[in-house]
Amino acid sequence: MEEQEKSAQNFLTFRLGDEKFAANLDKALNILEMLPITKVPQSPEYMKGVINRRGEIIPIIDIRMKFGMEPIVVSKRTVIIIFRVEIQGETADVGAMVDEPGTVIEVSEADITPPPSIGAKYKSELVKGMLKVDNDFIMLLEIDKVFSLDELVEINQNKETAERGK
Amino acid sequence: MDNFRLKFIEEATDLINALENSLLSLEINNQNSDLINEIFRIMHSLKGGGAMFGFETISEFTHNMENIYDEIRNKKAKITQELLSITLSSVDHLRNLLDDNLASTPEVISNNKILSERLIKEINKTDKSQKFDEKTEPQNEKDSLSEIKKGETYYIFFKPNAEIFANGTNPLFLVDELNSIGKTLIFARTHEIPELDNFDPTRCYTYWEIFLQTESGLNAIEDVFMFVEDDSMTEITKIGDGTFLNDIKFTSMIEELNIADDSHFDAAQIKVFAESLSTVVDKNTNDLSVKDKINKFTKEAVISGIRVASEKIDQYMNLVSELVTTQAAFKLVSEKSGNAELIELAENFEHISNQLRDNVLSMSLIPIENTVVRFKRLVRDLSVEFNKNIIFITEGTETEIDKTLAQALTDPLMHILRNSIDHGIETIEERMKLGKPAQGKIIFKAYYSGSRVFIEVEDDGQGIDTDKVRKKAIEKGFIDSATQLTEKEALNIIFLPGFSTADKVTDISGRGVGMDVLKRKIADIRGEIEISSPRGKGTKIIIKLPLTLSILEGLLVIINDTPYIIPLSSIYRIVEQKIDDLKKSYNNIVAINGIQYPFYLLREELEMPGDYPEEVQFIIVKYEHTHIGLVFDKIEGEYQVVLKPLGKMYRNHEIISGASILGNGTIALILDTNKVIDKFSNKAFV
Repeated sequence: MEEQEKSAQNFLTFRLGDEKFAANLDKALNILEMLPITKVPQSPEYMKGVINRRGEIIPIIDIRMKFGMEPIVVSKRTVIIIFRVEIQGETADVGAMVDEPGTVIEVSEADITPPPSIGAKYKSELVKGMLKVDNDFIMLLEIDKVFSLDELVEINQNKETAERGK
Repeated sequence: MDNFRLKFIEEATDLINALENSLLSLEINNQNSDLINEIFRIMHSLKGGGAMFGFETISEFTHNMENIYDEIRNKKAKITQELLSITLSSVDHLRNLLDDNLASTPEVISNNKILSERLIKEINKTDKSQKFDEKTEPQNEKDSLSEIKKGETYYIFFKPNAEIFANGTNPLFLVDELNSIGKTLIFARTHEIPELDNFDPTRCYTYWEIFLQTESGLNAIEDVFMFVEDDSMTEITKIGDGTFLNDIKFTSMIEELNIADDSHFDAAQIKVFAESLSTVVDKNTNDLSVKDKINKFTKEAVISGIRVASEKIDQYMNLVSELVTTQAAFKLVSEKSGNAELIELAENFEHISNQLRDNVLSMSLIPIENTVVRFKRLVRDLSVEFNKNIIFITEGTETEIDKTLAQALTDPLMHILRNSIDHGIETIEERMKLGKPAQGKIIFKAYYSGSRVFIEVEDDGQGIDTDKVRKKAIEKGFIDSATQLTEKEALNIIFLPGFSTADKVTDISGRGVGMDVLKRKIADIRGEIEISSPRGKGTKIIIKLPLTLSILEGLLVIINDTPYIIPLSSIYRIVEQKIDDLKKSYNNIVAINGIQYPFYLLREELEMPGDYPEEVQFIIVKYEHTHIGLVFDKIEGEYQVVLKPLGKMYRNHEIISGASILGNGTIALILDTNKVIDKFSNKAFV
């Protein structure tokens, strides 16, 4: 994809807290109004539970918590963006709760800069780069990594180790 | 064309499995002519199919096998142990040949050479030892055909259906095959080919009339057309005994007739003419027997089943699952409406969808027999290898299980059998010393128990030495030396990751896959594994499996607005309790009707917010050999739910085995009660 469209790419923007983020548009499947979420016990707090999307069960993540922000508080503007991501080499549909959906923007290659390496507020591996839009900077997320399993696996392992006294 | 190759691979795999099964039966009952015929028939189908679909190596290879069994069939050769061993190795080899990736490897190619040579040696053996019949050269030697003195002459009318190409069949191959079993005179009839405007290149317009002079008999000719019976019009008429095609009078007569009418020969007329040439008088009886055979041949072709891609069954299953969900919603709505007509409709709807569900379930079930054939072979081969005398007894192999389950079971069961043969059953000498019968026994049993399938593998070997297990466990730091273990607990240690009684590891059992992997694999398909091993008497492993993985009868229960499903099969009793009484109880044990039940307050264990209502539901579930209470807020009722995975993000979740969408669209989580109790009981070895 990136090679084909060297000149410009499309991104979907959204708001988390007071900050704007963006993700590659081709990763996003759709945007849903808030739906009732069934909480799954014994899972990390940022995993909000599961929803029913037309008969399919989709896990929902509070990505604010992934970035170390306060847990999301559902408001009228809160939506769920469904992303199709790669988790350990397999595709999966995952929903992210965001404070507000944004728009689709087109950014030329020249206006995408690598993430700042020093003084980064967020885990640098989750940020793919910065989009320069009207003298404003939007953080471009590495969406596969945001949903990657690693953290969950880690948590489960810790629990197990603690319990089994291995 | 690839599609047809795939189809052939599928069919050939079935044929090879059937062949293996028949060979193993033949080993026990080596005089059974039905079996020999069956074996010959399968080989022939393989050969024919192989040639037709471009698996030349398979075709050539099977040809040699077929020759041997043809001799056996005709009582010109005997079945020996050696021959069976070669044939069984050949069966394995055929499997390799089917796999495109394997077929071209040097090992397989050299195997092909070695085995072919051995097979040919076997054929020669039979030739030498049985000289009473002046059997001629192998059938594929075309060059020497003119020398054939004996034989029969047939007239064959072969008109393929116009659509025959769609099956991937090239009729010319069939004509060619006829050519290979004797001398032929072939007339291709092309006058039905239409004008170019109406010509459809995907259709076949040609038909053939063939005179064949052969020693192979009518069966061989019929076999050529085996695959196209339904796709063609085939008429085989015996002209008479004798090699008429070598007779110039006969051939020139046919040429004359051909010039007179180039669309159709009159078989009867030719027959009369042939008779005048022939010295053979016994015409009528021959004629009859030929006709009989043709009738029989077409009768066998009645189709008793069809082959459906398993993907299609899965899709069907999914659709029915959705239907069951929708039906549940419909029922809910109709009951709410209070409309009697609607309720009645909903009941009918439920009835039909239940039937439909059972129907699709039965479709995806296969008898466990299919899996067991491989085990028979494994036991046979390993017994030979370890120089042990073992009889493998199977019971209840007609028991049906979900095909996905059957697949998932193969490896674990193989592993169990290997263990039994390698570690369990003693050598012949040891058994004699112990006063056991020299022949060891492995019993494989499958049967239904309630809504589950049980599979038992039992051997009469030395059993598992729990003292040794205990010692090892202490060495490895799983337990300390002060720990008291019951026999059962000690046995269960072998299921722990990283535990292996290493001094016993051999090439066969110790392939790095331990019993822990076994247990996990069984757990993956919602099964349980149990082991018992009275020392010195043997080991018995029981695997308990659900019938299907996709639909579950469950009880819908609620904690703090979150709906959970508990499989009905795991529920023992339900009683109402006062939460205060439960909270006051000592050590989470409560007496109900004089029986003490340990229990878990799930709201607290699952760290759910809020408090229990005053009256709570105390659901007593089965756990191992005891009963344990789980406490919920309330019960919604019995539901039939469709299982869905929770998705990859929750792959490592222990106590929730899946989810299901309820009639009203909300999601209920399926609670694996065994895992829940495992988790909260803090038991080290379960």
